[in-house]
Amino acid sequence: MYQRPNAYEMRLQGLFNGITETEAHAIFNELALEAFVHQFEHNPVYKSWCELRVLIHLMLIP
Amino acid sequence: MRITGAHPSNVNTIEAIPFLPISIFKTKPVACFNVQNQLYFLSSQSSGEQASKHYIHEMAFYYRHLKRCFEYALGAVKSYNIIGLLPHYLERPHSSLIAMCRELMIQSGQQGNDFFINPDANFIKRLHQLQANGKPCIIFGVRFAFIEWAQHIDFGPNAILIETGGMKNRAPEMSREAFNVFALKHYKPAALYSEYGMTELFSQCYAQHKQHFICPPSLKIFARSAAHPEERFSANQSGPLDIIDLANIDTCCFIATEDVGTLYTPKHFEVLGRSDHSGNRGCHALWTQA
Repeated sequence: MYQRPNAYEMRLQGLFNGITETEAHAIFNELALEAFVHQFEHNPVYKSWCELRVLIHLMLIP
Repeated sequence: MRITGAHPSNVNTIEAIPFLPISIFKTKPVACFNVQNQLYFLSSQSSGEQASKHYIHEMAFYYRHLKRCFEYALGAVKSYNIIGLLPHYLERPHSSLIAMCRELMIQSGQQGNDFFINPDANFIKRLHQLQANGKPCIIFGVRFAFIEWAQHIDFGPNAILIETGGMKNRAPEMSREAFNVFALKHYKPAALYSEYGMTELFSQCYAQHKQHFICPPSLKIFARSAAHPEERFSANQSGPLDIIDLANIDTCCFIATEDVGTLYTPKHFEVLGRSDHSGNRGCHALWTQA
C-alpha cells in the first residue's frame, strides 16, 4: 500500500505558515531530499531516469 | 559538472537531484503508486501533440494544495466571487484548470459561481448578480479568449481577471507584458493577474500585472543552460526552467520543463515562451529505446 513520507503534508503546510526565510529554506531542502529518496524508491520511471543519465551522458558527449 | 547516476547514497544536496524531462509524462506513467483505475489530469493537445497524463493519488490533497497556492497570492478565497470563462475547456473532463476553478468556486462558497463558455447574455446577467454582493469577482480565462472578446464585453469595475496562459495555437503568441497592456486598456479591471501552472504540476504561481511570478513556498525554479543542461544560471539569465514542486510528492517533484524563462530572485521569475527542446528529444529517444 503506497504511503507518503511521514507527516509530509503537515510539513508542506508548515511552509505556508509565515515562517522565516531561513527556516523555509531548510525545510524545503529537507523535504526535497526526502522526496527524492521517496520517488527513487517508489517511482520506477523516475528511478530509471536517474540511472540512465550516465548512459545518456556517455552517448551524447563521448 | 561530471554526470553520474543519481542514487540516494550520492545525492546530499538539492543541486544533485536529477530533473525528469516533462515530455516523459506523455509516454510513461510517472507515479509512485499503481496507476490502474486512478484519476488523472490530461493536458490540452496542440497541433497533434500527444497529451501529458498526470496521475492523481488523492484528489483531496490536490484541492487542499491549490487553495494554499491561491491564498498565498490573493488572500482568502471566501472573499471572492469566482467565474470560469473558459471556451472549450468544459469539453475536457480531465483538465486540471477546470478542476482548479471548480474547487475554488466551491471553496469561495458564493452561490452563483459558475463556468461559462463565452460572455453571452447569461454570463453578463450572472456577473451583475454576483457583483451586487459587493465582493470582487474573479474571472478566470485563457489569454486568447480575453483578446478575442475585448471588443464585445465590459466586465465592470470590480472584476479581477486571471489569465491562465498562452494562445493554444489560436492566434500569434502575445507576451504577458503585451497582453497586460492590452487587457488593462480594454477591460480596465480592478486587478489583473496571470497564473502559471501546468498539468504536470500540482502547485500554481500567480503574478500581478507589472510584477513577476512569485513561487509559492512549495515550489522552486531554476533556469538552466540550454547547451549544458547540468549548468544552472544565476539571477537575471534566461534559460529552460527546472522546477521542484513538493506538491508532486506522489508522482515526480523534479521536472525539467520546456518553458524558457528568467529567474530574477530565488522566488521571482518570468516565463518567456517555449524552447524548441531539440536537445530533450535526443535524450527522450534514448529513454524510449531503453
